[in-house]
Amino acid sequence: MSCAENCLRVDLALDDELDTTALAEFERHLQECPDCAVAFARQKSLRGSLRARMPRHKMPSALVQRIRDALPDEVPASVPEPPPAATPAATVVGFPAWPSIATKARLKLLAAGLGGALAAAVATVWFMHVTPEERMTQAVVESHVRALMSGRMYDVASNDPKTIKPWFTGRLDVAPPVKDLSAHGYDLVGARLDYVDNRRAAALVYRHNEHVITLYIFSTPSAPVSESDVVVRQGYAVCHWSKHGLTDWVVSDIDPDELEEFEDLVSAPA
Amino acid sequence: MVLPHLDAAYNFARYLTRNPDDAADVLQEASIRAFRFFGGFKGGSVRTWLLTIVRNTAYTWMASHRRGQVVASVEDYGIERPLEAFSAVPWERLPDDPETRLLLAEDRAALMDVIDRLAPEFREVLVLREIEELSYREIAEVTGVPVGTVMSRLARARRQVQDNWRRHVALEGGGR
Repeated sequence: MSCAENCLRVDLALDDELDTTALAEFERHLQECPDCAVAFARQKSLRGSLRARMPRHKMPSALVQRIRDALPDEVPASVPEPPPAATPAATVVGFPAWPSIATKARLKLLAAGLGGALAAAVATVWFMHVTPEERMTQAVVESHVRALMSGRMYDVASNDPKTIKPWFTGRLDVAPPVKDLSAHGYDLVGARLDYVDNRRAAALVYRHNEHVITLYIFSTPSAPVSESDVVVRQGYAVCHWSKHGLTDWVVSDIDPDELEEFEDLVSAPA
Repeated sequence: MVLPHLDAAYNFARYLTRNPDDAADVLQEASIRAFRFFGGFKGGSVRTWLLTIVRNTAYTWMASHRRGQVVASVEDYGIERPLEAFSAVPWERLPDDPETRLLLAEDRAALMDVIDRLAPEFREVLVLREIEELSYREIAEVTGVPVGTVMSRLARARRQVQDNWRRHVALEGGGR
């Protein structure tokens, strides 16, 4: 394989489009060809920057309402989700009412068990019922799992709040409170800057026995004082609370009761 | 499970139209189409299917609402060349001064601008790959072009982002 051909493989390798044999060959080539190695490193860093920094536009909540209003109010009864708000299709300006024959045909399709069709219908209906809280829960679980899988749990490793707190200076517009909870069995191990649900967050990482706990701290100047119950998503216990213009989210695979204990320790007045 | 697809749908519409109001119109239209035509769903990935509908809706919408502008194609840009021609200038010949690196792209608005300036065919593959993390095959499905075309457009999209970023830095960076 010539160098030119391998050059073309830089993108393929980066995009996981090479099979095992081709990838091994490409990696061997990188060892002996500095040009390709540099190209690959540069492409990898571009990829990292784009993934980290390309804006991910969030659906405005007003749009959710608008679409809900525009969709015909004919959710098949077999869809196991609550129906959208009762807006008669005929009153929706600018969008034709559904022909009832089509509706019947659709119901037949559903009855015939077209799983994909059902999934799509659920997709369209379901998202309108996902609350910001649920979305955020999902986002912190994803972030926590991603950090665990990548092995990149923290940018700064320290068990000393006096080291971690100043590390956030200039990286965040808040000074996150950092507590040493080792006396209670929760060992601070480090912190990272994270980006969750389109916002920057301080992510403090604690260990409790074999479990990892991530405490996310967001700046929320206008959030009212509040406290959630512990919910469990994908096996991870999650809870959150807001006060003093900060919102904390905690996620871990520890027992929900222990997570509550952790929450009490973190949110207790210093 | 399903919510990320719809956020993805909005995000994709936003990148295609480059404008939040148009993205909202497109997403509304696409949701109705998805809802109405879900009988046409042939199995496979719900997300790919939905993104395909969003894309088709967006292009139709732009063609009718922005007559005579914006919906330029790659052909208009005169840059759809064979991959061989493209690779004649290998990556490693590009200058490697640190300030041209996107790593320093603290300025999201500038990055957004750089991406908005890409030809639509390049912008869509970049978004589908880097944000949605679709495979070449899935991108081919959404955009309706062969996998080989996806590959060369993606390579060129990345190249253009780097070039445009370097230009941006050159314009901005005189005083730095």
